[in-house]
Amino acid sequence: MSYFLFIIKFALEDFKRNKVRTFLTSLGILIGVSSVVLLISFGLGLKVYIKNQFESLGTNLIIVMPGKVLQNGSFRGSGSSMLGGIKFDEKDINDLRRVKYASLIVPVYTRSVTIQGNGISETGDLYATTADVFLIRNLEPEAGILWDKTDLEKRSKKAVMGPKIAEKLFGTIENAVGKIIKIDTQSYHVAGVLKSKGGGGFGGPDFDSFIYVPYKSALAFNPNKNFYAINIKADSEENIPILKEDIKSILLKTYKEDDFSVVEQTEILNAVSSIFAILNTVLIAIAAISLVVGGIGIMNIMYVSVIERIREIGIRRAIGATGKDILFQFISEAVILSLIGGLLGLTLSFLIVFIIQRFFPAYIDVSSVLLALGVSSAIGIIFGVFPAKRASDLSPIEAIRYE
Amino acid sequence: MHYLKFILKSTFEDLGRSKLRTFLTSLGILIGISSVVLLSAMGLGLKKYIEDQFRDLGANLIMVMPGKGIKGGFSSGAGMLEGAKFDEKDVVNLKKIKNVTIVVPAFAGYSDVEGNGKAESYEIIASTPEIFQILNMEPEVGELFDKADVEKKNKIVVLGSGPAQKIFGSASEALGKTATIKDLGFKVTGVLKSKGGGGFGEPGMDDHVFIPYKAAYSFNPDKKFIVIYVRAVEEKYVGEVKNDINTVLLKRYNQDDFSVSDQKEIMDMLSTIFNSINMVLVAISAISLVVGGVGIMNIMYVSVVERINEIGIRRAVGAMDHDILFLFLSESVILSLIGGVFGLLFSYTVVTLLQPIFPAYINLQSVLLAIGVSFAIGIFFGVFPARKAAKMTPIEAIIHD
Repeated sequence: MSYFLFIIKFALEDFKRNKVRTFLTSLGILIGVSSVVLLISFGLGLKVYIKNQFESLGTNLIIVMPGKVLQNGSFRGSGSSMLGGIKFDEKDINDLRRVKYASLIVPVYTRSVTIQGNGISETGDLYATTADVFLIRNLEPEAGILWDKTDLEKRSKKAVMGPKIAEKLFGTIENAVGKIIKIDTQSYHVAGVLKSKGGGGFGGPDFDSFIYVPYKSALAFNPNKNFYAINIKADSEENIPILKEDIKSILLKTYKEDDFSVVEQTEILNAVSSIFAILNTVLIAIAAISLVVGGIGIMNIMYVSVIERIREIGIRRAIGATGKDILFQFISEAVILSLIGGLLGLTLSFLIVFIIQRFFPAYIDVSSVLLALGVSSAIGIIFGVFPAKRASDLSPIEAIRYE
Repeated sequence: MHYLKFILKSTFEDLGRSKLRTFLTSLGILIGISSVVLLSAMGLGLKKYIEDQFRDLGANLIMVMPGKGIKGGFSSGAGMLEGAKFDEKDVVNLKKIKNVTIVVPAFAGYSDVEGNGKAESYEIIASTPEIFQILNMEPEVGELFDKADVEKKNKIVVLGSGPAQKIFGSASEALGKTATIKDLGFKVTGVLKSKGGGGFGEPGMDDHVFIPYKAAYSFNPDKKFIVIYVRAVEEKYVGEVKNDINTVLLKRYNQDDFSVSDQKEIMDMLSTIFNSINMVLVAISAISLVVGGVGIMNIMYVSVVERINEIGIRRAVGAMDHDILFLFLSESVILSLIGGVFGLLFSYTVVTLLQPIFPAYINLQSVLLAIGVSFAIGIFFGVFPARKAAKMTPIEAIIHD
């Protein structure tokens, strides 16, 4: 133990001797470590962000869609849907109502529309569906009220819009309630405006620009009362697998295996996450290059250091230090330099993550910290060993004699 | 000029004194520059590759698609779900527009294609015979289907070279066989020449299967199309034709239900996407350049201290402040440039080796950028040590032990 302290003491003394050099050398590792750690934390935050977006849509959700959407856990088909892409209809919904373990069944027809109100025109996504959509997606009104089952039966032309669209058209959310809007060519009465749900980042769905109408009032857009997707909420997590099977068997009576997919929300979440994970890894690999460059900087300076201290090495040898001692001494210096850079880099990353926390759920986990420390030490050893060997190989007599 | 030569001579002498040090210092810049140049080369290659695929289709090509398509960006998933939209009436209407040579509607979707005991999934394109013209595809063996086949609703299929090989073994073996699509049998009357393409998980041109659209009524009963290709007579008429198409379609559909895009728009959008991605990648790899620069600064400080006596003597024989500054600055710049130039050479080698797998390339802009950035790094990171050297009073310098 005291041997270690001895080594460390000398290393620190040496660093103090030339503070600028110590700083610059560890700066390289500092920059390298912070960029890697920050990118890792960004990736973690992204995962959390996506998960939150999905969960805000509701938990225990199963989605039935036309075509085969996932294959081996990743998305399949590049924009082209299945040949003979089917659309679901009211009969399918009625058939599905027979399953057990489903608490809500919500069919959805969706399309891009132009929404006009108050003289302004905006684009938004129209969702023609049943009243349960508000339940299944945890949507609550910010102002006004939501339309319900009776509105659906009566085919009332009522609409509930997201706050972003409300503000764009009418200025404030309260102003929008009660007004008349035109969706494409049809007039609707704004019954209510929803609370904000966020979204819209990274090209994801912009929840606050959606507009919900009862599907029976949307016959002008959807005369066949078709649906592009059916959202089903399971009554509990354990029943999801059975529910999926039941849904599949019911639909197989009308459609073929390849014509539709029954996917759990988590499957989609995983597919999306893995895409982002790959991107993140690439970025991290690139950032890691800077660590290599930093290591080279350490190696370079250590060589200089060795030459500067040749006589010192000679004297140490003279009073009993073995080649191994010299080797160990110089490697330790390199490792400590590297660790200083690593620790400072971690600290800087913590600071930055802390500041970003309010905008984005990035976070640094334990494995990042261990990785940073481990990699710094490794760099110190790898890049320090060459100069250290040069130092330890010096013959004591040559060393002492050096001018 | 003579002065410059003098400085350069001193610089190279000094760099030669410790070759290891010179090597290690410029190595940092070498690595930094190579990563930046290589990444942007890959980005350029990818962009060019996709642009080539589009250019192959011809610049006077206009695509009519349902929904907002490209203009609406990709955030609105609703547009994509629209599915088939256009029908034969639209095709007839569009054909009447002047300055239009061909109008080709198509319906596409994925399906399993079975034959020879095997089953593989491919994108099926149901269209008119002109689709082969538009896509510049020619038969390798057999023949393409024609107008008569479409009218007679013949169940024939033209395979791309990919499916022909994978299912039947080779193009010639596929000819005359039956391929089953969605439980219907289609006779293989032709196999297309290979065009290459694909990669990155996208089906290339060779992995498609073509059938006359009227034979597809069982899975496309409404005879709808998801895209209509329109070729203008010449590039200069594209704008006019686009407007005419818009007018014609507005008679039946809402503005939001379709989009008319030309090659240029698509390529512009692609460019924007690639440029953004590229910028991010380059920015991250630039971090290593900064670290390399820090390394240069560090070593230059060492160099200055080592040569204090030398600086003193130079001063004594008449060198001014700016001479010393210039001397050290040129050392750091040359160190940096050496790293940069070798980094460029290294990148060039890697790109050349990768050529068969991937069409990355280094353009002039990258080269200039690499050299310029190396230069800038040398100056920026070298100026601090150089100033320290220049500011030393001659007497201190000479006396220094």
